[in-house]
Amino acid sequence: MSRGPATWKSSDVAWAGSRRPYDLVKEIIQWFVVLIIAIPVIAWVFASPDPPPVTFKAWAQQSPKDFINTTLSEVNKTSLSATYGPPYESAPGASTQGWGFFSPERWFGAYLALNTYTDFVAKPLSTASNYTAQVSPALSAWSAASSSQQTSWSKAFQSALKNAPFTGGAYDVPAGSYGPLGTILSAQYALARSGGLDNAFDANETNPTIWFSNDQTWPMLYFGDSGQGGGGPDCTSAEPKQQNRISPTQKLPKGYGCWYYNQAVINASPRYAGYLAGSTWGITNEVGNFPGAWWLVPYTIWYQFGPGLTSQSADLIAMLLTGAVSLPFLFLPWIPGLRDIPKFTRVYKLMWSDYYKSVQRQQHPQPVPAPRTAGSDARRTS
Amino acid sequence: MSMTEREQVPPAPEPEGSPGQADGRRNMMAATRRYAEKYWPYSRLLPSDEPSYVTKMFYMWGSLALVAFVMLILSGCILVFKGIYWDHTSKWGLFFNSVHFWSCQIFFFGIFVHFGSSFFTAAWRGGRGFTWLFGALAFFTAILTGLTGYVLQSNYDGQWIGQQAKDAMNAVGLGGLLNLMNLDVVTGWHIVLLPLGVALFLAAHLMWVRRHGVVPPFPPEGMSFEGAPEPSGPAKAEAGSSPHAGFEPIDSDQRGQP
Repeated sequence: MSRGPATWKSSDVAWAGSRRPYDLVKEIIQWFVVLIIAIPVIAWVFASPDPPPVTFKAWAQQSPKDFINTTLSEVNKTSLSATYGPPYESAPGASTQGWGFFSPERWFGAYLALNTYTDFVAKPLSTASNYTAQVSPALSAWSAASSSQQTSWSKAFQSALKNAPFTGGAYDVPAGSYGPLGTILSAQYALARSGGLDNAFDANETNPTIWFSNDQTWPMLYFGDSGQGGGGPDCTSAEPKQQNRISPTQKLPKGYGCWYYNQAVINASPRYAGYLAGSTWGITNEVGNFPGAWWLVPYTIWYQFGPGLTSQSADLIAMLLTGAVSLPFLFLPWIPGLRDIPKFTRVYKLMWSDYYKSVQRQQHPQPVPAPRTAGSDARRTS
Repeated sequence: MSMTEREQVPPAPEPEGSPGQADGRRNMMAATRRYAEKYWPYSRLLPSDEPSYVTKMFYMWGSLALVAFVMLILSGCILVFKGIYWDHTSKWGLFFNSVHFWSCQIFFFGIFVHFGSSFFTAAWRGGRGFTWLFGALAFFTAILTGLTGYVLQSNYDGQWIGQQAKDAMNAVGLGGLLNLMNLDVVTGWHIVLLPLGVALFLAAHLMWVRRHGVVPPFPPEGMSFEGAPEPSGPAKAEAGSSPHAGFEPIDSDQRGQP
């Protein structure tokens, strides 16, 4: 073995030196024994998060004005879901993420075609008890009306709803020129309060051919639209301090302070006093005191400090940046410069300290002291 | 008989009908076997020793992640027997869901520490680039598995995470393949496709770990490998008495790879 200055061509070396006994099977068994005891103990003591799901029944009962306003936005198709764009709509005015041709959302079209009026309101209402007598004619009147007429009715209803008193679940919207909306929205509200709207979505009564379905796409989009109808007096944050946790430069999430987002606030307490929204590290958090999906930090970080926080393409930007970081990570061994970082950090010196010490001992052997004898001691001291 | 004499004796002819006797160059199974025998002889595949520098605790975290993955599969199988709603209605359901949950946390903890030690030791050296790549692919697949698992909890977590994360999936055009708000779809991904992907990438990672062995330390300062002797064989143990003598150029077919 020749000696000379270090060339660091260590990527061209393989070990053919001395070896030591090592039992990998024993190592695996030892870890298995540790985990088969430790994990059940941890699981028994700390359990796991299981916050109950939110329901339309709870929404209508706890935040009736938000529910009705949001439902109105589904009927007149101004909600977040109704204007989302692909994959739910392909209307020219629908919002899309991307720039020019580069818009992956648009490449695949509206493969989950959604009509919020039909899918969120009209179909579920067909299960209402007063459907034939009252609801069906109201829906027909709404469908037959012109677009300007629908807008006029919507504005009138929204204005009237602001002052509507809610007593024990019943509400009394002052009379106004809002056409069939009063009938449609009060029917949807009653259906939700009774739990019928949850059933209508869960059991797929509106489409018996997929009775076995476990597809919650429509109800979850409906929940996410909470507050999208302009909100209302009951749209106030469940966590007042939360306002201070969000940078003034960041855009508040749509629907912030309304019922659905407030569930994130309530369920995230007490650990984060707060919030599971994307602008506060989102799904890397977990409800209560449980550890979240912290391994998603390389993705969620772009929602905290990324360049696209206020952009309409925020999600696409976050995903592209995650990809931009992930690809070098995947192909790190082939990227000059990046792959040399460990060489310069020299952390390996610490990690292989035993080995380098042994090398040092070989290169600079310490003189072995002569064995002590009575005679030699006598000579040294003489 | 001395060793030299024994080596000069021609091998006994294979009895007629022995497996492999009719192997031609174009026989793909024979080629596969030759490849496997070259890179995964049993002494490498199931080693009972490791290089003398393998002494530190940081070598064990990959094993921890692997065992945590086994725990995930085992607890996941139990959850499959009773369905995805079991944990909401039974204390045993919640217990096994919790075992699954904490196994997941430990799995990612093991992976992160393993990545850290692999990074700072530049474990991709010596033709080990694919070892890193397969490990990283297992990690990325595991992230998607975790995401679908969180949705599959079918509680408020599942609602919130599925409804929030769908935007990112839609933005890159993948919402049609993995609609996080459709439990029918999410269930299939979480219990079949993604764990299969993790298992395959982990298996490839482990095979490449065994193929190349544990990466040696960076050469001690003052050492050069120029003109080092060629290796005499893949399983050359106990070569040299000093720690320096452990370094040798790798096989020519591995040269040039990171």
